[in-house]
Amino acid sequence: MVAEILKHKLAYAFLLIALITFTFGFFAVWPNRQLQRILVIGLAIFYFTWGLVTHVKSRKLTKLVVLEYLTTSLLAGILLLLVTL
Amino acid sequence: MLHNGTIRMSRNKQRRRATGGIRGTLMHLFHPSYHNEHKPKLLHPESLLYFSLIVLASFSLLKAIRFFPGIEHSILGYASNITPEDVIIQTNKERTTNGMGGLILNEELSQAALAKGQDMFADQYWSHTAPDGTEPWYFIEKSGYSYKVAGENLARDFMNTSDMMQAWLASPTHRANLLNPRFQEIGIAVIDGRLNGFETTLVVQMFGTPEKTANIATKPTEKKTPQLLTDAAETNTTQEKTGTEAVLADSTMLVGQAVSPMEFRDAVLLTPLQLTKAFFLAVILLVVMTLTYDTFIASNTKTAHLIGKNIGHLMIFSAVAFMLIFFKGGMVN
Repeated sequence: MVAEILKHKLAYAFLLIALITFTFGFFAVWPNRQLQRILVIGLAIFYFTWGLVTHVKSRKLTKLVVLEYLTTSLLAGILLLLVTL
Repeated sequence: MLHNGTIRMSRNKQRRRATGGIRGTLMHLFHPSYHNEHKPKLLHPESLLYFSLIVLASFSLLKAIRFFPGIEHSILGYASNITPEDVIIQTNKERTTNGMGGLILNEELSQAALAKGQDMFADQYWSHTAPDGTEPWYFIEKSGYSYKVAGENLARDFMNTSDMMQAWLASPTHRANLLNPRFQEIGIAVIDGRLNGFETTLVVQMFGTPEKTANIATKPTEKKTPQLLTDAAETNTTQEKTGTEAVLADSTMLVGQAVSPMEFRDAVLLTPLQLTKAFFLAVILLVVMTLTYDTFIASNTKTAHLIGKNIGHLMIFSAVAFMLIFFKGGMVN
Protein backbone atom coordinates (compact mmCIF):
# COMPACT_ATOMS: atom_id res chain seq x y z
CA MET A 1 0.00 0.00 0.00
CA VAL A 2 2.79 2.39 0.94
CA ALA A 3 4.64 1.54 -2.25
CA GLU A 4 1.50 2.24 -4.28
CA ILE A 5 1.05 5.61 -2.58
CA LEU A 6 4.69 6.56 -3.10
CA LYS A 7 4.53 5.50 -6.72
CA HIS A 8 1.56 7.79 -7.38
CA LYS A 9 2.09 10.31 -4.62
CA LEU A 10 1.13 13.29 -6.77
CA ALA A 11 -2.17 11.72 -7.78
CA TYR A 12 -3.03 10.72 -4.22
CA ALA A 13 -1.96 14.07 -2.82
CA PHE A 14 -4.25 15.78 -5.32
CA LEU A 15 -7.09 13.45 -4.38
CA LEU A 16 -6.54 14.02 -0.67
CA ILE A 17 -6.55 17.80 -1.06
CA ALA A 18 -9.68 17.66 -3.20
CA LEU A 19 -11.49 15.41 -0.73
CA ILE A 20 -10.59 17.67 2.19
CA THR A 21 -11.79 20.67 0.19
CA PHE A 22 -15.09 19.00 -0.69
CA THR A 23 -15.59 17.89 2.90
CA PHE A 24 -14.87 21.36 4.23
CA GLY A 25 -17.19 22.88 1.65
CA PHE A 26 -19.95 20.41 2.50
CA PHE A 27 -19.98 21.58 6.10
CA ALA A 28 -19.25 25.23 5.28
CA VAL A 29 -22.42 25.67 3.21
CA TRP A 30 -24.62 24.05 5.86
CA PRO A 31 -27.58 24.52 6.39
CA ASN A 32 -28.02 25.19 2.66
CA ARG A 33 -29.04 21.70 1.48
CA GLN A 34 -29.16 22.75 -2.16
CA LEU A 35 -25.51 23.76 -2.18
CA GLN A 36 -24.60 20.60 -0.30
CA ARG A 37 -26.22 18.51 -3.04
CA ILE A 38 -24.39 20.43 -5.73
CA LEU A 39 -21.11 19.78 -3.92
CA VAL A 40 -21.90 16.08 -3.62
CA ILE A 41 -22.58 15.82 -7.35
CA GLY A 42 -19.33 17.69 -7.95
CA LEU A 43 -17.47 15.26 -5.70
CA ALA A 44 -18.84 12.24 -7.56
CA ILE A 45 -17.94 13.71 -10.95
CA PHE A 46 -14.49 14.70 -9.69
CA TYR A 47 -13.70 11.23 -8.38
CA PHE A 48 -14.84 9.56 -11.58
CA THR A 49 -12.67 11.94 -13.59
CA TRP A 50 -9.72 11.48 -11.24
CA GLY A 51 -9.92 7.72 -11.62
CA LEU A 52 -9.99 7.90 -15.39
CA VAL A 53 -7.14 10.42 -15.63
CA THR A 54 -4.84 8.47 -13.30
CA HIS A 55 -5.46 5.28 -15.25
CA VAL A 56 -4.95 7.00 -18.58
CA LYS A 57 -1.59 8.24 -17.31
CA SER A 58 -0.58 4.76 -16.21
CA ARG A 59 -2.00 3.31 -19.46
CA LYS A 60 -4.24 0.90 -17.64
CA LEU A 61 -7.59 2.30 -18.65
CA THR A 62 -10.04 -0.46 -19.45
CA LYS A 63 -13.78 -0.79 -19.66
CA LEU A 64 -13.74 -2.47 -16.26
CA VAL A 65 -11.87 0.46 -14.73
CA VAL A 66 -14.37 2.93 -16.16
CA LEU A 67 -17.27 0.90 -14.77
CA GLU A 68 -15.60 0.54 -11.38
CA TYR A 69 -15.03 4.28 -10.97
CA LEU A 70 -18.48 5.02 -12.31
CA THR A 71 -20.20 2.75 -9.80
CA THR A 72 -17.96 3.83 -6.93
CA SER A 73 -18.71 7.49 -7.64
CA LEU A 74 -22.39 6.65 -8.00
CA LEU A 75 -22.53 4.87 -4.65
CA ALA A 76 -20.64 7.63 -2.84
CA GLY A 77 -22.85 10.29 -4.43
CA ILE A 78 -26.11 8.48 -3.66
CA LEU A 79 -25.17 7.96 -0.02
CA LEU A 80 -24.52 11.66 0.49
CA LEU A 81 -27.36 12.90 -1.68
CA LEU A 82 -29.99 10.84 0.12
CA VAL A 83 -28.91 11.98 3.55
CA THR A 84 -29.46 15.60 2.50
CA LEU A 85 -33.04 14.94 1.38
CA MET B 1 -2.17 -10.04 -14.14
CA LEU B 2 0.23 -11.98 -11.94
CA HIS B 3 3.73 -11.03 -11.05
CA ASN B 4 4.79 -14.51 -10.13
CA GLY B 5 3.43 -17.96 -9.51
CA THR B 6 2.21 -17.35 -5.99
CA ILE B 7 -1.41 -17.15 -6.96
CA ARG B 8 -1.21 -19.96 -9.46
CA MET B 9 0.22 -22.29 -6.83
CA SER B 10 -2.67 -21.72 -4.48
CA ARG B 11 -5.48 -22.00 -7.00
CA ASN B 12 -6.36 -25.56 -6.16
CA LYS B 13 -6.63 -24.65 -2.52
CA GLN B 14 -8.76 -21.65 -3.34
CA ARG B 15 -10.96 -23.72 -5.61
CA ARG B 16 -11.56 -26.18 -2.81
CA ARG B 17 -12.45 -23.34 -0.50
CA ALA B 18 -14.73 -21.79 -3.05
CA THR B 19 -16.80 -24.90 -3.53
CA GLY B 20 -18.08 -25.09 0.05
CA GLY B 21 -21.64 -23.71 0.56
CA ILE B 22 -21.82 -20.63 2.74
CA ARG B 23 -18.09 -20.48 3.25
CA GLY B 24 -17.53 -20.66 -0.48
CA THR B 25 -19.99 -17.87 -1.04
CA LEU B 26 -18.32 -15.70 1.58
CA MET B 27 -14.91 -16.41 0.07
CA HIS B 28 -16.26 -15.47 -3.33
CA LEU B 29 -17.66 -12.23 -1.95
CA PHE B 30 -14.74 -11.14 0.20
CA HIS B 31 -11.59 -13.02 -0.76
CA PRO B 32 -9.71 -12.26 -3.97
CA SER B 33 -9.15 -15.46 -5.89
CA TYR B 34 -9.12 -17.08 -9.29
CA HIS B 35 -12.91 -17.43 -9.17
CA ASN B 36 -13.59 -13.72 -8.84
CA GLU B 37 -10.77 -12.49 -11.05
CA HIS B 38 -8.63 -11.72 -8.01
CA LYS B 39 -10.99 -9.07 -6.78
CA PRO B 40 -13.64 -9.71 -4.10
CA LYS B 41 -16.99 -10.02 -5.81
CA LEU B 42 -18.32 -7.36 -3.47
CA LEU B 43 -16.02 -4.81 -5.13
CA HIS B 44 -16.98 -5.61 -8.70
CA PRO B 45 -18.79 -2.83 -10.56
CA GLU B 46 -22.04 -4.78 -10.70
CA SER B 47 -21.91 -5.32 -6.92
CA LEU B 48 -21.33 -1.62 -6.31
CA LEU B 49 -24.29 -0.91 -8.56
CA TYR B 50 -26.40 -3.35 -6.52
CA PHE B 51 -25.29 -1.53 -3.38
CA SER B 52 -26.53 1.73 -4.88
CA LEU B 53 -29.88 0.16 -5.75
CA ILE B 54 -30.20 -1.39 -2.29
CA VAL B 55 -29.45 1.98 -0.68
CA LEU B 56 -32.06 3.68 -2.86
CA ALA B 57 -34.65 0.99 -2.13
CA SER B 58 -33.98 1.11 1.61
CA PHE B 59 -34.26 4.87 1.68
CA SER B 60 -37.56 4.69 -0.21
CA LEU B 61 -38.77 2.08 2.25
CA LEU B 62 -37.87 4.32 5.16
CA LYS B 63 -39.83 7.14 3.60
CA ALA B 64 -42.75 4.78 3.02
CA ILE B 65 -42.95 3.95 6.74
CA ARG B 66 -44.87 7.19 7.18
CA PHE B 67 -47.85 5.41 5.61
CA PHE B 68 -47.79 2.93 8.50
CA PRO B 69 -48.02 5.09 11.63
CA GLY B 70 -48.18 2.03 13.91
CA ILE B 71 -44.79 0.78 12.77
CA GLU B 72 -43.30 4.23 12.63
CA HIS B 73 -44.21 5.09 16.21
CA SER B 74 -42.65 1.90 17.52
CA ILE B 75 -39.35 2.54 15.77
CA LEU B 76 -38.90 6.12 14.75
CA GLY B 77 -39.53 9.50 16.24
CA TYR B 78 -38.01 12.81 17.12
CA ALA B 79 -36.27 13.54 20.36
CA SER B 80 -35.97 17.28 20.08
CA ASN B 81 -35.13 19.00 23.33
CA ILE B 82 -35.60 22.53 22.03
CA THR B 83 -37.33 24.86 24.44
CA PRO B 84 -38.41 28.46 23.91
CA GLU B 85 -36.40 29.45 26.95
CA ASP B 86 -33.17 28.08 25.45
CA VAL B 87 -33.89 29.79 22.15
CA ILE B 88 -34.43 33.11 23.87
CA ILE B 89 -31.34 32.78 26.03
CA GLN B 90 -29.11 31.87 23.11
CA THR B 91 -30.60 34.53 20.85
CA ASN B 92 -30.04 37.28 23.40
CA LYS B 93 -26.57 35.97 24.08
CA GLU B 94 -25.77 36.26 20.40
CA ARG B 95 -27.19 39.75 20.23
CA THR B 96 -25.27 40.82 23.28
CA THR B 97 -22.08 39.43 21.77
CA ASN B 98 -22.74 41.59 18.73
CA GLY B 99 -23.32 44.70 20.77
CA MET B 100 -27.11 44.71 20.67
CA GLY B 101 -29.69 44.70 23.37
CA GLY B 102 -31.70 41.62 24.20
CA LEU B 103 -35.23 41.04 23.00
CA ILE B 104 -38.22 41.01 25.28
CA LEU B 105 -40.56 38.06 25.10
CA ASN B 106 -44.02 39.15 24.04
CA GLU B 107 -47.07 36.98 24.63
CA GLU B 108 -48.94 38.21 21.58
CA LEU B 109 -46.01 37.45 19.34
CA SER B 110 -45.76 33.99 20.90
CA GLN B 111 -49.43 33.44 20.18
CA ALA B 112 -48.86 34.58 16.60
CA ALA B 113 -45.95 32.12 16.32
CA LEU B 114 -48.10 29.32 17.68
CA ALA B 115 -50.91 30.17 15.27
CA LYS B 116 -48.43 30.11 12.37
CA GLY B 117 -47.05 26.75 13.46
CA GLN B 118 -50.52 25.26 13.81
CA ASP B 119 -51.47 26.65 10.43
CA MET B 120 -48.45 24.93 8.84
CA PHE B 121 -49.48 21.61 10.35
CA ALA B 122 -53.11 22.13 9.43
CA ASP B 123 -52.44 23.08 5.82
CA GLN B 124 -49.29 20.95 5.49
CA TYR B 125 -46.79 23.49 4.27
CA TRP B 126 -43.35 24.68 5.25
CA SER B 127 -42.92 28.25 4.17
CA HIS B 128 -43.25 31.84 5.24
CA THR B 129 -46.21 32.16 2.94
CA ALA B 130 -49.13 29.74 3.15
CA PRO B 131 -50.44 28.03 -0.01
CA ASP B 132 -53.36 30.45 -0.02
CA GLY B 133 -51.00 33.43 0.09
CA THR B 134 -51.29 34.21 3.79
CA GLU B 135 -48.17 35.90 5.07
CA PRO B 136 -46.72 35.81 8.58
CA TRP B 137 -47.90 39.31 9.32
CA TYR B 138 -51.47 38.12 9.24
CA PHE B 139 -50.87 35.98 12.33
CA ILE B 140 -49.13 38.84 14.10
CA GLU B 141 -51.99 41.21 13.47
CA LYS B 142 -54.52 38.55 14.36
CA SER B 143 -52.89 38.13 17.75
CA GLY B 144 -53.53 41.79 18.45
CA TYR B 145 -49.93 42.88 18.16
CA SER B 146 -49.61 46.21 16.40
CA TYR B 147 -46.15 46.39 14.91
CA LYS B 148 -43.91 48.88 13.25
CA VAL B 149 -41.46 46.27 11.97
CA ALA B 150 -41.82 42.50 12.06
CA GLY B 151 -40.01 39.37 10.96
CA GLU B 152 -40.17 35.60 11.06
CA ASN B 153 -37.68 32.73 11.31
CA LEU B 154 -38.63 29.10 10.83
CA ALA B 155 -36.79 25.89 11.68
CA ARG B 156 -37.65 22.21 11.70
CA ASP B 157 -36.17 18.79 12.47
CA PHE B 158 -33.45 20.05 14.79
CA MET B 159 -32.49 17.91 17.77
CA ASN B 160 -31.28 20.73 19.98
CA THR B 161 -31.30 24.48 20.28
CA SER B 162 -27.57 24.95 19.67
CA ASP B 163 -27.65 23.27 16.26
CA MET B 164 -30.69 25.28 15.29
CA MET B 165 -29.04 28.51 16.37
CA GLN B 166 -25.90 27.63 14.43
CA ALA B 167 -27.99 27.00 11.32
CA TRP B 168 -29.78 30.32 11.66
CA LEU B 169 -26.53 32.14 12.21
CA ALA B 170 -24.96 30.44 9.21
CA SER B 171 -27.77 31.63 6.95
CA PRO B 172 -27.31 35.30 5.99
CA THR B 173 -31.04 36.11 5.89
CA HIS B 174 -31.79 34.44 9.21
CA ARG B 175 -28.75 35.99 10.78
CA ALA B 176 -29.92 39.40 9.59
CA ASN B 177 -33.21 38.90 11.41
CA LEU B 178 -31.55 37.50 14.46
CA LEU B 179 -29.23 40.46 14.80
CA ASN B 180 -31.59 43.12 13.51
CA PRO B 181 -31.28 46.13 15.85
CA ARG B 182 -34.74 47.33 14.84
CA PHE B 183 -36.47 44.46 16.61
CA GLN B 184 -37.35 44.88 20.25
CA GLU B 185 -39.62 41.96 21.04
CA ILE B 186 -39.87 38.28 20.25
CA GLY B 187 -42.42 35.48 20.32
CA ILE B 188 -41.57 31.80 20.09
CA ALA B 189 -43.48 28.58 19.56
CA VAL B 190 -42.02 25.07 19.58
CA ILE B 191 -44.57 22.63 18.23
CA ASP B 192 -44.50 18.89 17.60
CA GLY B 193 -46.67 17.48 14.86
CA ARG B 194 -46.84 15.66 11.57
CA LEU B 195 -45.76 17.50 8.42
CA ASN B 196 -46.10 15.82 5.04
CA GLY B 197 -46.34 12.46 6.73
CA PHE B 198 -43.34 12.83 9.03
CA GLU B 199 -43.16 13.66 12.68
CA THR B 200 -41.26 16.83 13.26
CA THR B 201 -40.68 19.72 15.58
CA LEU B 202 -41.35 23.17 14.18
CA VAL B 203 -39.90 26.28 15.70
CA VAL B 204 -41.52 29.57 14.79
CA GLN B 205 -40.03 32.86 15.84
CA MET B 206 -41.82 36.12 15.39
CA PHE B 207 -39.97 39.39 15.83
CA GLY B 208 -41.46 42.78 16.14
CA THR B 209 -41.24 46.30 17.33
CA PRO B 210 -44.51 47.69 18.66
CA GLU B 211 -46.03 50.63 16.91
CA LYS B 212 -46.22 52.46 20.18
CA THR B 213 -43.00 52.28 22.13
CA ALA B 214 -45.00 52.66 25.31
CA ASN B 215 -46.32 49.14 24.83
CA ILE B 216 -42.93 47.71 25.67
CA ALA B 217 -42.95 49.24 29.09
CA THR B 218 -46.21 47.50 29.91
CA LYS B 219 -44.61 44.08 29.69
CA PRO B 220 -41.76 44.26 32.14
CA THR B 221 -42.18 40.75 33.46
CA GLU B 222 -41.04 38.95 30.34
CA LYS B 223 -37.49 37.80 30.06
CA LYS B 224 -35.03 39.61 27.90
CA THR B 225 -34.36 37.40 24.95
CA PRO B 226 -32.61 37.29 21.61
CA GLN B 227 -34.75 36.82 18.54
CA LEU B 228 -34.52 34.66 15.46
CA LEU B 229 -35.99 35.76 12.14
CA THR B 230 -35.81 35.10 8.49
CA ASP B 231 -37.70 37.87 6.84
CA ALA B 232 -38.16 41.37 8.04
CA ALA B 233 -41.20 43.16 6.79
CA GLU B 234 -42.74 46.54 6.95
CA THR B 235 -46.17 47.00 8.43
CA ASN B 236 -48.02 47.33 5.18
CA THR B 237 -47.57 43.69 4.15
CA THR B 238 -50.57 42.26 5.96
CA GLN B 239 -53.13 40.18 4.20
CA GLU B 240 -56.44 38.81 5.41
CA LYS B 241 -56.93 35.08 5.55
CA THR B 242 -60.10 33.16 6.26
CA GLY B 243 -60.48 30.01 8.25
CA THR B 244 -57.79 30.45 10.85
CA GLU B 245 -59.88 32.02 13.54
CA ALA B 246 -60.55 28.65 15.14
CA VAL B 247 -56.86 27.88 15.34
CA LEU B 248 -56.16 31.12 17.06
CA ALA B 249 -59.13 30.77 19.35
CA ASP B 250 -57.88 27.39 20.53
CA SER B 251 -54.45 28.69 21.29
CA THR B 252 -53.91 28.76 25.00
CA MET B 253 -50.17 29.02 24.96
CA LEU B 254 -48.47 30.78 27.79
CA VAL B 255 -45.70 33.20 27.12
CA GLY B 256 -42.56 31.35 26.15
CA GLN B 257 -44.13 27.95 26.66
CA ALA B 258 -43.88 25.19 24.09
CA VAL B 259 -47.11 23.58 23.05
CA SER B 260 -46.92 19.97 21.92
CA PRO B 261 -50.15 18.87 20.27
CA MET B 262 -48.71 15.39 19.80
CA GLU B 263 -46.47 13.83 22.40
CA PHE B 264 -43.75 12.31 20.24
CA ARG B 265 -40.91 12.98 22.58
CA ASP B 266 -41.26 9.85 24.69
CA ALA B 267 -39.64 6.48 24.07
CA VAL B 268 -37.89 7.43 20.87
CA LEU B 269 -35.66 4.64 19.63
CA LEU B 270 -34.22 6.30 16.55
CA THR B 271 -34.87 9.35 14.48
CA PRO B 272 -35.24 8.83 10.72
CA LEU B 273 -31.92 10.62 10.19
CA GLN B 274 -30.13 8.42 12.70
CA LEU B 275 -31.53 5.28 11.10
CA THR B 276 -30.53 6.49 7.64
CA LYS B 277 -27.03 7.36 8.77
CA ALA B 278 -26.59 4.05 10.58
CA PHE B 279 -27.59 2.04 7.52
CA PHE B 280 -25.46 4.09 5.14
CA LEU B 281 -22.45 3.81 7.45
CA ALA B 282 -22.94 0.05 7.64
CA VAL B 283 -22.78 -0.11 3.84
CA ILE B 284 -19.61 1.99 3.80
CA LEU B 285 -18.06 -0.10 6.56
CA LEU B 286 -18.69 -3.28 4.59
CA VAL B 287 -17.12 -1.84 1.45
CA VAL B 288 -14.18 -0.29 3.30
CA MET B 289 -13.40 -3.49 5.19
CA THR B 290 -13.51 -5.49 1.96
CA LEU B 291 -11.28 -2.93 0.24
CA THR B 292 -8.80 -3.05 3.13
CA TYR B 293 -8.75 -6.84 3.14
CA ASP B 294 -8.32 -6.95 -0.63
CA THR B 295 -5.46 -4.45 -0.44
CA PHE B 296 -3.78 -6.51 2.27
CA ILE B 297 -4.13 -9.76 0.35
CA ALA B 298 -3.02 -8.15 -2.90
CA SER B 299 0.12 -6.73 -1.33
CA ASN B 300 0.98 -10.02 0.37
CA THR B 301 0.47 -12.11 -2.74
CA LYS B 302 2.05 -9.51 -4.99
CA THR B 303 -0.99 -9.46 -7.21
CA ALA B 304 -1.06 -6.64 -9.68
CA HIS B 305 -4.57 -5.22 -10.03
CA LEU B 306 -5.52 -4.24 -13.52
CA ILE B 307 -8.60 -2.59 -12.11
CA GLY B 308 -9.28 0.43 -9.94
CA LYS B 309 -7.07 1.70 -7.17
CA ASN B 310 -8.23 0.52 -3.76
CA ILE B 311 -6.50 3.37 -1.99
CA GLY B 312 -8.47 5.92 -3.95
CA HIS B 313 -11.72 4.11 -3.13
CA LEU B 314 -10.75 3.92 0.52
CA MET B 315 -10.08 7.64 0.57
CA ILE B 316 -13.40 8.67 -0.97
CA PHE B 317 -15.45 6.29 1.17
CA SER B 318 -13.65 7.52 4.27
CA ALA B 319 -14.53 11.08 3.30
CA VAL B 320 -18.15 10.07 2.72
CA ALA B 321 -18.25 8.31 6.10
CA PHE B 322 -16.87 11.41 7.80
CA MET B 323 -19.49 13.61 6.15
CA LEU B 324 -22.27 11.21 7.10
CA ILE B 325 -21.19 10.97 10.73
CA PHE B 326 -21.02 14.71 11.22
CA PHE B 327 -23.97 15.62 9.00
CA LYS B 328 -26.48 17.68 10.92
CA GLY B 329 -30.18 17.43 10.30
CA GLY B 330 -32.64 20.24 10.44
CA MET B 331 -33.80 22.88 8.01
CA VAL B 332 -34.31 26.58 8.28
CA ASN B 333 -36.62 28.78 6.28
